[in-house]
Amino acid sequence: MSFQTAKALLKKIERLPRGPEWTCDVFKVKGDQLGEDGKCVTQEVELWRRDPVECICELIGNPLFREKLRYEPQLKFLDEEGKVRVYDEMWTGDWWWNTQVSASFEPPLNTLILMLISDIDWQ
Amino acid sequence: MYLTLGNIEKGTRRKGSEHGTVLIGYIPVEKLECFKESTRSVHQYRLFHHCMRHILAPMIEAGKQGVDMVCADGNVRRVFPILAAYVADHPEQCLVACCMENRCPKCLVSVENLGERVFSPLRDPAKTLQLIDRVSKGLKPPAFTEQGIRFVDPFWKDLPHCDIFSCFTPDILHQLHKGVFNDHVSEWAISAASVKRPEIDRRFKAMPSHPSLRHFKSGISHVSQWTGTERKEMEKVFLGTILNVSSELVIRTVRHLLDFIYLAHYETHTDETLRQLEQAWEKFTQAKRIFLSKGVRKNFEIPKIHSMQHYVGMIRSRGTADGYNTEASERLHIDYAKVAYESSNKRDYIPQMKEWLMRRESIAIFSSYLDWIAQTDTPEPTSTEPEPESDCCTEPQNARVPIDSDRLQYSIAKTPPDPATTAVSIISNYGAVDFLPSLRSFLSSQSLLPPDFDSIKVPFPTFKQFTIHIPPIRHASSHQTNDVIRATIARKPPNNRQKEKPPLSDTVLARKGPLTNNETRQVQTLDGMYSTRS
Repeated sequence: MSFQTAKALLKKIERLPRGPEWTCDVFKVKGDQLGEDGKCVTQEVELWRRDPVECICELIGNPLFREKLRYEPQLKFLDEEGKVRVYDEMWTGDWWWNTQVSASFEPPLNTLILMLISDIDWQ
Repeated sequence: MYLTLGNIEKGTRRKGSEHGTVLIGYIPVEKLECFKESTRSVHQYRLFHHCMRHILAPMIEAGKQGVDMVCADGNVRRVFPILAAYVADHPEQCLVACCMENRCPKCLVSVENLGERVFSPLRDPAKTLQLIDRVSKGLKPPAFTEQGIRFVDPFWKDLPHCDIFSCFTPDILHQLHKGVFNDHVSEWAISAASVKRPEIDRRFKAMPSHPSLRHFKSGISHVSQWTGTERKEMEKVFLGTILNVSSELVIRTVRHLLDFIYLAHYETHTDETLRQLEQAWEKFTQAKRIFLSKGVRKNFEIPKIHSMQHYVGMIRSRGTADGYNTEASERLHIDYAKVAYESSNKRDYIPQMKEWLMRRESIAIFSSYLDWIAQTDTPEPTSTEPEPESDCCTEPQNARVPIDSDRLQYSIAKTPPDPATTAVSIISNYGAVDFLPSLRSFLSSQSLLPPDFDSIKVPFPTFKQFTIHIPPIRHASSHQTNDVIRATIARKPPNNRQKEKPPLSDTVLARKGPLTNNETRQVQTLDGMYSTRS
C-alpha cells in the first residue's frame, strides 16, 4: 500500500483531479427587530455554491455517459406513417423540439442543454 | 440543490451511483431570527430567491451566447444551458413560482375551481414579472391578489428561454401517492363506507398473503408514519377492503384514481395511453362528487387534486413522469447530505461536508477515468489466441433473446423438496380434491392412460413453489416481473417458540389456449380464464 495513515490517504485523494470548486458567499441580513443597542439586528447567512456551467461541463464531458447522452430533440412514432407519437425521454417531448426551432439553434454543433434542478429540504 | 441534464438518459440520471446528478449548492435553511415572526416567512422566501439568483447567475450569459464544451463523444459543441425542469414538491414549487400555497403554481385556476374540470390559462412569466414590478412601484393591481402572487423578486427573471411555470414536473410520490390517494381519497372512502374503521382494519388483516403484496397485520388505522412503499402497497389492496360496504360510485372514484396513478407511472407513453390517462382523470373528476352528496367533503379545493390536470400536458412537453420522480432525488439526499453530515464533527459542518464531497467526487472522477482507460486500451481479442472456455462463451453477453410470449419462462427447484407424496396426501393435505379425475382426463387426452390407473400406487414428487418470469411490458417498465406461486401444507414449528406455519396455496388465473385476435382486443375481461388454487 502506498499510504500508512488515513491522513496520508486523504492527502493522496486531494491530489487527484477535482470537480468544480465551491465558493462561499456570506450575506448580512438586516432584520426588522431592534437589538439592545437600538439598531436592527443583523444575521450572517452562508451560501455554499458552485458554478452550474462548470458542473454542466463535467457532466456532458464524462466519457462514461457517451452512450447515454443526446444532443438534439427527437420525434418518436409508433408507426411508419407517423400517426401515433411516443413519449419517454425528455428529448422526445415537444418542449425541446419547439425551443430548438424557435431559438434557431442549429444542430449538430449547437446544442441545447436542458437543466433539471431538484430542490429538497435537507435539514 | 442538485443539477442534472435532460440530455442524459433518465435511467442513468436516476441512479445516484452513476454520478449523473451533481450538487450545486446548499441553500441556507436557518431561521431568520432577526425578523419578527409576522414578516419572517416572506424574508425567508426572498433569501431563497436571492441565493438561487447567485447560484444560477453564470447561466444567464451562457444561455444567451452559448459556451463551447467538449462532449462525451469527443466533439466540441456550442452549448446553451437552459433551465427546463424544476423538480420539487408543492410548497417548494409555490416558493419558486412566487404564488400562495393554496394556488396552482402552473396555471391561473381560481381556488374554488381547483377540483373541477376547468381549463385555465397557464401563468405567464412576463405578466407575473409585470405585476410584481407594479407592486414594487407602490401600485395595487387587482390581478396581483386574484392570481395569488407573492411579492418577491424571482430568481428566474433573467434566465433565457425559461418559462419557470412550465418547468414544474409531475411529482407522482407527493402529489398522487401521498396527497391525492393517501391523505384524501382513501380517507374519504373510509369515512363514506357503511362500516366503521375497525372493520376496514379487520379486512386489511384478513387479506390472504401473497409474495408480492404487503400484509397489513394490524390494519391501517395505527400506521402513523407512512413510507412511500407502504402507501403503494396499501393502494394495491385498498379496493378489496371497501368492497360491499361502499356505494358503486365510491368504488368507481377509487378505481379511476388508481387507473390514473398506474398510467402516470408508465415509462413510455403513446398518444393512446395518454388518452387513457386523460380519460381516467376526467372520470375521476366527475365521479368524486359522490363525496359531496355523502357529506364527506364540502369542496375539492385541493391543489394536489388539481395537479392531475397537468400530467398529460407535461408528459407531452417534457417526457414521461418517471424521469422526474422525487423518490430518486430523495435517495441522493440521503447519500449526499446525511452521510456527509455524519462524517463531519457536526460543528461548522458545511465546509467539512463540502470537503468530504469533493474527495468522494475526486475518487469518482478518477475511477471513471480508470474505467474509460480500461475500455479504450483493452486490445480486441485476437483470433490467433485460442479462447479459453470458448464453448460456453460463444454468445455475446448482451445478446437479446427474443421473447416468445406464448411460452412463459419459469424457474423451479432442481430437486423436489418432497420426492414422494402419495395421492392421498395430495388430496387431503393440499386439498386438491380433483387431483385424480384431472390426472385421468389429462392422461387420456394425451392417450397415455394406463388401463390399471385406479390400482397403481405411485409417489408424486411435489414442489413447494415455482416462479414465472413475466417479460417486461415495454411501456410500463423495463423490468421483468417475477410471479411466485406457492403450494405448501401446514408445517409444525421446529421448536416451541415459533408458531405453526399455515398452509399456503396461491390463486392462479390461467388462460385456456392462446388468445384469438378478437380476444386480445378485450383483455380487460376475464373471459377465457381459468381460476385455480395451486
